[in-house]
Amino acid sequence: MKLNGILTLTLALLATMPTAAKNVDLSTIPPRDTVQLTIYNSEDLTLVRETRTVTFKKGVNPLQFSWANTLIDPSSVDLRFKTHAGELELLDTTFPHDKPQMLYWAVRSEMDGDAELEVTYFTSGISWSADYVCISDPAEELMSFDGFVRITNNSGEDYADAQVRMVVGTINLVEKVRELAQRGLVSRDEAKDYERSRRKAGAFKADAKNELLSKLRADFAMAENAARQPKKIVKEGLSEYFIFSVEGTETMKNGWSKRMRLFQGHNVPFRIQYRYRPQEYGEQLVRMFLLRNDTVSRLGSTPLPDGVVRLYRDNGRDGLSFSIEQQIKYVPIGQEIELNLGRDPEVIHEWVSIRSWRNAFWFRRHGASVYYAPGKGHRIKINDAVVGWDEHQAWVERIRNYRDKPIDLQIRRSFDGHVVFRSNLEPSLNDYRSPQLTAQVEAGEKKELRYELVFHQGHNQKQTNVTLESVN
Amino acid sequence: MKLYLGVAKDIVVKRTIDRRDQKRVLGNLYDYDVVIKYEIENFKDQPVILDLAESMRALRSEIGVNNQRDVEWELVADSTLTDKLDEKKSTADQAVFHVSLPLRGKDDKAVKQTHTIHLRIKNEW
Repeated sequence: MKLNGILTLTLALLATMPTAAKNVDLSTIPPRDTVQLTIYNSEDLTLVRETRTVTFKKGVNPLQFSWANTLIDPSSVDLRFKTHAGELELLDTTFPHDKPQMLYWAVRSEMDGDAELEVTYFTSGISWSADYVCISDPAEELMSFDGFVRITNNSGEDYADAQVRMVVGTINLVEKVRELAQRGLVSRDEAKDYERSRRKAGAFKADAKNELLSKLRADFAMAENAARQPKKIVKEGLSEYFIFSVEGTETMKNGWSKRMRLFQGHNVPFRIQYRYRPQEYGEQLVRMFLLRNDTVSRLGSTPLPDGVVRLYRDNGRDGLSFSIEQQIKYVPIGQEIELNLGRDPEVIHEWVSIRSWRNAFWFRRHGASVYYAPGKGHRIKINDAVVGWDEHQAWVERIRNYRDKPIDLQIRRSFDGHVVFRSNLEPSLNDYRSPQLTAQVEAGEKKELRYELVFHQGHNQKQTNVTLESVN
Repeated sequence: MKLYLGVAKDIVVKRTIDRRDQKRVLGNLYDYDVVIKYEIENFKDQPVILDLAESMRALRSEIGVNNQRDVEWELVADSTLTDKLDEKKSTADQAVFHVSLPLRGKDDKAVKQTHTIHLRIKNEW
């Protein structure tokens, strides 16, 4: 076992452990038998489960566990006996004052011989990220969609032949493990026993963390078999999380990264839509590739974790052209994936106000809160002031499609105030203030979508929303 | 595609606001009749088509009416450029006219054309 940090488990052969840890005679460094890493990206948290075989003698056996130069959360370290559990008992845990990154377990044994231990703890510094490579066919109808994961180990510790699992989902963690690891453990007075030190340290909130550890341990026991399947990345849902288990084992050296294939999607169908949504994409008409993470689309075997998508287009001449690089958020099974290719110079969009006029005036008499409208037959005096009116605006959306294919178009705009949207375009409302138009523009066509907006102003404003009105 | 070649110094346009009449409609609501006169000379030795674009917000500000509302305007029929209005290129805020200018005469004198636009700016307060 090569260590960058000093993460060791040693057995002291003395039958009784002296108070001063520096006097312990260390003679055995049992290597790890197995190690399993479960990486929670959302919290810079990795659960490490390792098993080691230790030789015990009858009586009290001091076990030393140290974690120098690593990012282990000391309050999370836990010891269990996988074999001879009835003959072994953990008496206490001691943190020597002069060796801050070390603890001793005093284990009473009723037998002579080997026993398998399981040590679990949290560490930070191990992360994973997903990325996707998509290649569209020249006709822009099908694409390949391949997913990859990259695991990076900056925890200060090498993990040889580790089972690796990556968890998608957000867990609730009271404190950051990195902060706990860097805080140091306990003061001299607090070093007498582990439970006492945890209570005195207070801020560790170890009970909550141990509860989480227990739950995770139980969850992973359920998933353990799946992780030992023949070599592939196994995906499974677990509680509120989704776990990707890397086939077999991987050696994760400190400071190294490793990239592995997550899945492959061939001939994934997608559609193209042109969208104008200024709040999402800025003041431009953008070209979107839309596909769905489902089996119909030859995907859907797994949710897609947050990651970077790199999209290329096969140019039909044995070459690729790079289109976009885009960050996507977690995509559950069944949800649509939206790739924004940006503005298309071959599709021109203009929004022009072609006329503006006002009517439906209301006046208020000077010095009185009485309102008069000429449209209701009221007589307006010279000192009466305008306090309400309707502002009419005629607009046109002009789209010119210079492509050799028809395009699907969607235009969504938001308006403040009490607004009427009048048109014969069969609009819909995306929300209370955002009408949405859809249309198809044929190849080479110049299309105009005309509509009228009526803003009820001043005394005329009764609402803050947009109402759709159809005109023939 | 448009290429900007610079300022055409051989085309001279003198623009004046010849008339500004304010008419009360109701209460503090007013209409304004504005007549803009253009005197245009083409000193080039080739005919050209001149585009005249009049911004309504700028014009309203020019006649001393300032607010943030859109300009409600209409072209009154007695304008000499009424039939030159390009309705495709005109917008709620901009009226665009096309004027054909003949080339400079044989005596090197440019023909001076005089045109008027009569605009009604409505419902201002």
